[in-house]
Amino acid sequence: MSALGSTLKKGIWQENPVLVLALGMCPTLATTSNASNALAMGIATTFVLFCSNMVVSMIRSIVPGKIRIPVYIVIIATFVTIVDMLMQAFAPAAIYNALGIFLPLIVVNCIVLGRAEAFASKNGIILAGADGISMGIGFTLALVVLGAIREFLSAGTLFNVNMQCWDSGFAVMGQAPGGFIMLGFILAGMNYLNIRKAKKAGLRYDTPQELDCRHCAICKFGE
Amino acid sequence: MSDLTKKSGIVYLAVFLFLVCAIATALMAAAKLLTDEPIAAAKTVKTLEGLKLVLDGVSYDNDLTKDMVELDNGFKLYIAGKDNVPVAYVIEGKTSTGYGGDVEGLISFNADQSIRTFIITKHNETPGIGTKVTDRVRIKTITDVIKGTPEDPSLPGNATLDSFKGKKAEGDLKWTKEDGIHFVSGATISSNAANDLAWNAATALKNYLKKEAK
Repeated sequence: MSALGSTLKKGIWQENPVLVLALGMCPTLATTSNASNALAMGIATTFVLFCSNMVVSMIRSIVPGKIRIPVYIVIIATFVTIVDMLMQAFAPAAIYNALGIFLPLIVVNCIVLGRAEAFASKNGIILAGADGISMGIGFTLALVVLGAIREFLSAGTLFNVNMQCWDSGFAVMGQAPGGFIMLGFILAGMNYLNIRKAKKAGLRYDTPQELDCRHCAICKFGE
Repeated sequence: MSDLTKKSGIVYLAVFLFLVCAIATALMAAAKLLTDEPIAAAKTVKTLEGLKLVLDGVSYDNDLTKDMVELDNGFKLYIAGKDNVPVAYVIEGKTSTGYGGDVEGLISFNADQSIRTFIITKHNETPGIGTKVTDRVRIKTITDVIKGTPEDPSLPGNATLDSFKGKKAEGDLKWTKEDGIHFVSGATISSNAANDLAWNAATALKNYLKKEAK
């Protein structure tokens, strides 16, 4: 499979940013109280990831190593500000108000800076763009699944439509503790499936190599 | 060309960072210019839609946004008139006593200053608890979606907000449960915030009309 194809696929399952890399936990828990907010957050983040990855990749050969983190942050903050203004101008008011403070917080979403540093600064523009899309789709999927489960359990609705088959409001699922617990269960489920698949192939399951502490260059731990 | 990423002279770094920030600022300024008008338009549309909602059933013939008065406490008063005679009033106000901060709303009054309709336009109350006070929602069920049932266009009911109908601000004490206001148990703070907002709006209208009559 070509590099482009594998880059596009890996963000969805093998290196899902929320469920495997455990990045971007804050917005995951905060915006998944219902499925519609989760979807909106996922789409906004995917757009920022796609654009910032490509710009970082474009300038990777001229950015001095010592100031690369501030430069990446400025780029990401610019895109998020633009997305914020565009959504305020053109998106339905209910969605914009629901996202509230979490839209500007995409700037400090670990996924965006993490991918800029770990991937976009070391690969070409097309690959970086594909990585951005793939991580964004993986993020959106994880968010929508978590959001749908939490919305259904706490209010019996999915995307604001009452499913008429679940009546008792499991209220804690709509709030933070329930979000943590549900996320834990989903993470455990992912790990179980991956370990079982690796065992069947006679291998040991390891988390993706590039992402352990030594391979990330942000805090120079490995040097 | 030597490897630009290895340069580390402080002047070079400072100039580079400055250029990056300058370009970023220019892009954001451009986006702001582009979206200023749609944002203002979206806000006006939101206000007009809200006004239409609370003045449902009132026949008036003036431009509400032209006849807007800013009251002493910051609230906005829209006067709906027919043939230059006021037939209804709408107050757009906010209170900061909500559980999650500010609660903003639109309250329409009949010509005799009794409350007609009360809607909350912006709040930060707890979903499922405080929202029992603030939200007017009509639940869409899956059978409705499958059958393709048309949406009911009338304003959904809300026990607390509807209990303000017909109330007038008489005297100095806010309305209580004895006056017929519906307080949601478990959402006392949100209920009190709605009460504060309605009471402040009614008193502001009363004071304004008293001043105008002089």
